Amino acid sequence: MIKPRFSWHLAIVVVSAVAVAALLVWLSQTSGGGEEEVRELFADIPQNGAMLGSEDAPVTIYLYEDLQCPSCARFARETFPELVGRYVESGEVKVVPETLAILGRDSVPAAKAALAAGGQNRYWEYSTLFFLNQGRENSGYVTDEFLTNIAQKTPGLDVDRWNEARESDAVQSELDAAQASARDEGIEGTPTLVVSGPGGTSKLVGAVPIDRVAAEIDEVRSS
Amino acid sequence: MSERSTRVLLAVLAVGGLLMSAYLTWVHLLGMPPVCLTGNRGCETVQSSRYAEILGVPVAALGMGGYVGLLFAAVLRGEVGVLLGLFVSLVGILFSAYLTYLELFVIYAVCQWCVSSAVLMMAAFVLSVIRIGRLRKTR
Repeated sequence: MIKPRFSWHLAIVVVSAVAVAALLVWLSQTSGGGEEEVRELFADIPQNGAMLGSEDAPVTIYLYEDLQCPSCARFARETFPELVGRYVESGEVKVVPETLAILGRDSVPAAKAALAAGGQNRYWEYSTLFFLNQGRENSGYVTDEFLTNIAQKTPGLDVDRWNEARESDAVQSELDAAQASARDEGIEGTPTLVVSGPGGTSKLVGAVPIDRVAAEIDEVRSS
Repeated sequence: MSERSTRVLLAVLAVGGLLMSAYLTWVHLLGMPPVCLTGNRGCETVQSSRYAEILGVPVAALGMGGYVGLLFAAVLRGEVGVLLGLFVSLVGILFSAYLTYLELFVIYAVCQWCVSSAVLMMAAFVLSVIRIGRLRKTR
């Protein structure tokens, strides 16, 4: 016969384990959703269309990316916030996205959705939230519902205007221009950063750490 | 299965899980994609998703903590070891079930490392139940 004390201990352990697991699930759901960090990251940084940062910044980074690309998502999570905090906020660097649709059918609506947000100066909030919620390539997760959900979470975005702009000729032209630019630049993978300044131009490929981006910025900053 | 062999098996599972989660923590902190045995990008997608961290702590690092707990459970004799093993493995399988749901229905990508960890936790839970059964008989 089992001792009552052991039964109590057993019950306490089971209840505690369920409580801890529930706490972890709750924390997982409520932390890192992205809205708050996106709001903080881009607060007070000028955006003109899809361009992020001061027009007068001496260094421009052209960021070739596909919203479906996992390495782009890693870059957005791990390197981009530091790049913004250290160089864009101070007016030293501006970032121009070259949004591509090269990884498959889901890339096209994803790119158009982000570019449409750019029409309201909300490209970066939208694309960053997309990356934070990215699914597996071409698995069919890029549905209207998914894109609209990101739009609704994007701070300051008028969702109705965004929805109309998604299929506009202007957005299609921006996408075509970025694809043409990628061909001209010989872009072979995403993300690719073309860092351009008075001292020249250099290219970085992959989800590179901030130190490598910083080194290239220093290299091209002075003529 | 004797108590000793159950504990040895639990220790082996814990060490295996510890090595696996240490590797995943390491690649997460370095920003590298984990090696995926079938070569697909499921692991990379899962690792780069918003669910790969909780309050800034990599989920793989939480897993390391869990496997350290299982190792202690294997080393400790008697009721304390048995209950610790049950606690850690139960948290582990419940949280793994949640992560598997996310992979299948939210992230749409499956990471083999996560599946392996779920299987290890399930095995650890079965061993913990066996230990409980044995402890009940001796009382």
